[in-house]
Amino acid sequence: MEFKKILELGIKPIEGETLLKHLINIHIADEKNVLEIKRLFESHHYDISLVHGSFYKIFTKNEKEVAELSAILTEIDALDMQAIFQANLRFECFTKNFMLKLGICRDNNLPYLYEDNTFIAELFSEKAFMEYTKNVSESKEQEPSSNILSEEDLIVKSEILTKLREISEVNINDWTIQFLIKNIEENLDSVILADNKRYKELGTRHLVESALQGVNITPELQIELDEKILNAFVDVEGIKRGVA
Amino acid sequence: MKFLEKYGFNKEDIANLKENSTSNLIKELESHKKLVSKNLEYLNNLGVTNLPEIFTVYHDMFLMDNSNFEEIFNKYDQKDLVEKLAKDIQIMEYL
Repeated sequence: MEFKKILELGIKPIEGETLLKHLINIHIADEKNVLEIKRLFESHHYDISLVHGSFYKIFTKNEKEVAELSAILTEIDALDMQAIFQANLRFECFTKNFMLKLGICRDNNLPYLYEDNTFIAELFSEKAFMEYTKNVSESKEQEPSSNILSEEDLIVKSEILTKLREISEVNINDWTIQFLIKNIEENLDSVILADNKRYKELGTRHLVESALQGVNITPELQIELDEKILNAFVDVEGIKRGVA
Repeated sequence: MKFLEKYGFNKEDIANLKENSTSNLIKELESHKKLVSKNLEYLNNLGVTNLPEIFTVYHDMFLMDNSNFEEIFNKYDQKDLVEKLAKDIQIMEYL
């Protein structure tokens, strides 16, 4: 796209910043997609007339990515958070990954904003976010200890933990999976105790699902949960044979 | 994006970069590996300690011509710049 065209669209860098460092974005941007991105933001009541230089990356999105952006803007509206995102006009905020992390914070009552309405730094770093959610989980009330579990219960628990560890190792860099597994592990004792050995009939998949009852599962998290965790527990008969 | 590993990027950093970029920009980075590496090398030699963090947000800048890229940073005291970048990568916007 021509440089002067983007200026004609009225999208300028914040005072003190220069576009020169970000010219590549304009160079590779497709004019049709740029117009659609501008239209999308405006139709969701955003003012993008003054943006940080790094925000120009957004104009390099292809058609598929523009459609994803559209869904994200709709999701933000549904959360009634448009004003907050307006105060955080950063490329990184309008990504699926960011929305997932934000959803985890919201659903589990974790603070996600500083006093000035900007998003906390932890939302922009995978490592920091994992640490952040871990700290909060650790401060949760302790669940009943495993010594109340019967020998049979302990075998089931051990089987579940072994599978979870395998899944964890395969998905070592996937903080979503790590978050879910951590929660399952933390709640497993109480879930097994409350189950009254129904796992003999039902298998262990429902135990894993029950262990996540305190966690609000967004549709995106549900997909990850089904694909990467619950599917590992579908062999109900096999598990039953091992336990009985 | 394997070439990034030379500059201390791990798999997680590369996945994070892809999450925070677009297919078009990733393609550009791949097809201009030499230029991107040269610019990364420059910041690495300056002693920048948080290269993956900076690159994840400002990778578009690394597609600049090497002399223009170096000019951005040459204006500042090296030690001071490295310290400031370690504290807040957003100063990249104002350099």
